[in-house]
Amino acid sequence: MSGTTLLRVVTTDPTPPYEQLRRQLAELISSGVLAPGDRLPPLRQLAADLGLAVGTVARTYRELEAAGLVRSRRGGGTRVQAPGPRQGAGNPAEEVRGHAEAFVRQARLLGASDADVRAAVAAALAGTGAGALPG
Amino acid sequence: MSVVVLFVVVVLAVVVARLVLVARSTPAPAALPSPELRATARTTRRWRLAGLAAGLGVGVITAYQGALGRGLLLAAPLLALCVLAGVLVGELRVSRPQGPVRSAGLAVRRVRDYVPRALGAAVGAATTLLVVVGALTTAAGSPDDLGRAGRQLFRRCSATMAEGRGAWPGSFYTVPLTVVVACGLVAAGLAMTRVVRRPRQSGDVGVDDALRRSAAEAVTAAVGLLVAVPLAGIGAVAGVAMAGFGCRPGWWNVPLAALAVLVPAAVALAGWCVAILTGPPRVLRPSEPVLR
Repeated sequence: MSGTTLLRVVTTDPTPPYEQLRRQLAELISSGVLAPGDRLPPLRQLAADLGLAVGTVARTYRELEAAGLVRSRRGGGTRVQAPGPRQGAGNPAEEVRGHAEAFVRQARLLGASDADVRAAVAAALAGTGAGALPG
Repeated sequence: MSVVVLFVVVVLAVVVARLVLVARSTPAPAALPSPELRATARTTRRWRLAGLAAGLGVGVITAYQGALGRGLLLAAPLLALCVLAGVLVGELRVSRPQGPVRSAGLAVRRVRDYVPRALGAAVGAATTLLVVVGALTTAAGSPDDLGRAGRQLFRRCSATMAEGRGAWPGSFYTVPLTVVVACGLVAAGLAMTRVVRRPRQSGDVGVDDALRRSAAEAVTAAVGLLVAVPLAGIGAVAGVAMAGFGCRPGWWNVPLAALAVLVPAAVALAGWCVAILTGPPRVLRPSEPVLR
């Protein structure tokens, strides 16, 4: 893992800090900057560096763990989890389903109902145009 | 007693003279690249020096107050404890990030990345030796003629003759020493944890790391002082007592030879630690790459 990779939190942003952190870490993991097995900074270190409460960073890590992206072990810190077998299989339909599952998981973590999820997907499809998924 | 007073005065004069020389020759923290780093360098340095100054005062008072040499034994460990408290307070006073945009790296900071290797190894060995030697002298000690536990080494030379010699570094000395050293090790652990976990200051990451290494070096040197001086004292007193026995068995030459090596080594380690504690912080040394 690169020691120069930076996480940024903007306290004036309406998005809560834990969500800003979660998004950045999830992106770093999905893009491969953080590889499976890489250790994330300890809660207290990251909280001190960002001037946040430890509970805020703990919530980020909990949500990443619930999404299956990291795994915390007592005494072993929090490490990036290897992706499940369905990801990276080279099959576009499988990959789309994987992304959809991740989306549904994140939406439920935010407290969205199934109807909210369907409405959000419908709005996204309407916004981009049916069949206009980037290829 | 007058020899001890003279020794204390000479040591104090040397330490104060070195501090003055270092203060004159050290570049100001203004050379550091950001206001936050400059503030961190200033704060930690001031508290470290305040701890050292308080420790010198506490050490001198303790040296004169403790009965039967206990004060002399505890003076250096208490000085080290004050230095550790100074480092800890200085690190606790480093401010948290304040602005609306804050950033952090993903690198995991570990204590072992900041502790100087050679000094850390030497201090670790000295701590182990202090525990071993202290346990052995405590186990071998007997009450003296006034019934004070562990102030004498007693040996039955024959069925009709026995010999006792003191002062001996038994429980009379090692119990209070254990309390002070244990407090010092706890303080060192807290200080080291804080050095590693305190907020990263904006500016140059390399300079921030150099400040942490400097603080970790001070903590390690303080622990060195905490254990090396009593190790030298216990070794010297035990050696003198054992060498003075008229009916000394032959095998005692082995521990005596070991002590003859151990005591100068502990004194050398204590001198090394004093040189670090009274020298300029690592980050402000002209040889340190961050200032080039």
